Amino acid sequence: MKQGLAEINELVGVWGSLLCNNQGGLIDSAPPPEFNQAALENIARHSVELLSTGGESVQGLKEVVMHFQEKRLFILDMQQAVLVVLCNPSIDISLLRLTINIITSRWEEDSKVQKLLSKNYLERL
Amino acid sequence: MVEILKGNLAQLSLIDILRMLSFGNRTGRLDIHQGAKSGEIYLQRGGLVHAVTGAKIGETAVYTLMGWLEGDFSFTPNIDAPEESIHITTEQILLEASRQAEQWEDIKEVISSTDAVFNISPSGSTNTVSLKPIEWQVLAQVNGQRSVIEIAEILDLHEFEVAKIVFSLTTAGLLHEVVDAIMMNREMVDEAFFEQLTSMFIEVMGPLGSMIIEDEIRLIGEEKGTFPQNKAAELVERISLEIRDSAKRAQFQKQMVAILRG
Repeated sequence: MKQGLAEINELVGVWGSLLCNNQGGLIDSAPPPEFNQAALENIARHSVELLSTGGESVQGLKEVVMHFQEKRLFILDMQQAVLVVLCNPSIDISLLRLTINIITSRWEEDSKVQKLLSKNYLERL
Repeated sequence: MVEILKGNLAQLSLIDILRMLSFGNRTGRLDIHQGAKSGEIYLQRGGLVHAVTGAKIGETAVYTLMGWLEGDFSFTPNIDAPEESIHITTEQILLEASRQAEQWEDIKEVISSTDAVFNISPSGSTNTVSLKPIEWQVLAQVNGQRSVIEIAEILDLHEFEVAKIVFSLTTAGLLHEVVDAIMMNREMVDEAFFEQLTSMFIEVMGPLGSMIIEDEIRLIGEEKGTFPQNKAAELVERISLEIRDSAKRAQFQKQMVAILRG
């Protein structure tokens, strides 16, 4: 899993990435060096809240891209967990989506990753 | 900020987006970006209440944005307008916009975009041409370097009006389009990229693959010969969605991402 996150981070414009459960608890991360655990947990919690809130009004909401002046936040609902990617505004979102799809498809076939996701699975509140 | 509607104006025109949002009684902000330019349109329970792009505000801003033939848009719900600058009904605006959109369809046959640059035709017109003062003013600004939009800014005219005049002067044989200024500067994908893309996609989808690629290029609002590098991943993403088998889709994406990332 760590390797998958590291591969996402290799993409130009990606700053860091993390995977959290459906209640915002961190499962794994490959964060930028300046981020501490509390900052990551904060991002994870907010991302899950955003997916939950958005999901109430937009059925089938699977992906959210948040635009800030200095950064972009790409949030993907993987059902079992939530993937969050911190990016620069210059990020090629299509290339990011393609890269993430390749990695998540690989995770689907990886029994170790599936075991870890099952262990950390929680229903969304 | 959750964006619930995103896309490109080449696929869905601004008038259709506004009709949809208006019909759905939506409240929020529609952001439109075209290169370095941007604009915002605010809706309140389906009614257009405020619009701004550059120095233009209100109805003028809406009509200017309607003239953008390409660009990205996104709608963020539940954002209130900072002020009210539109004082006519949404129906009136959409009616006028429809009229302009019909004319734009004809204009687009001659003017590829408002960034297009025109020059005086060396052969000139074969017929006697009489020009109105406003047409003279536009003609005087045409120098093979200024774009339609720049001429509109210099003359403080609506770009739609300038485009209409350039259209009539071009069809009269007085002007001709020179190479698009944006096209000259932008980085384009090479032929090898399309060869690899087509060959890999045909391997998965069969002979229809090349038609799907052509369709998607058109829907993105581009042409194969001048396809920009910064839209290559978007094209790969769009065509890969046609592959229903997720394992085959991921395999195709993996091969293409390796090419895109060099």
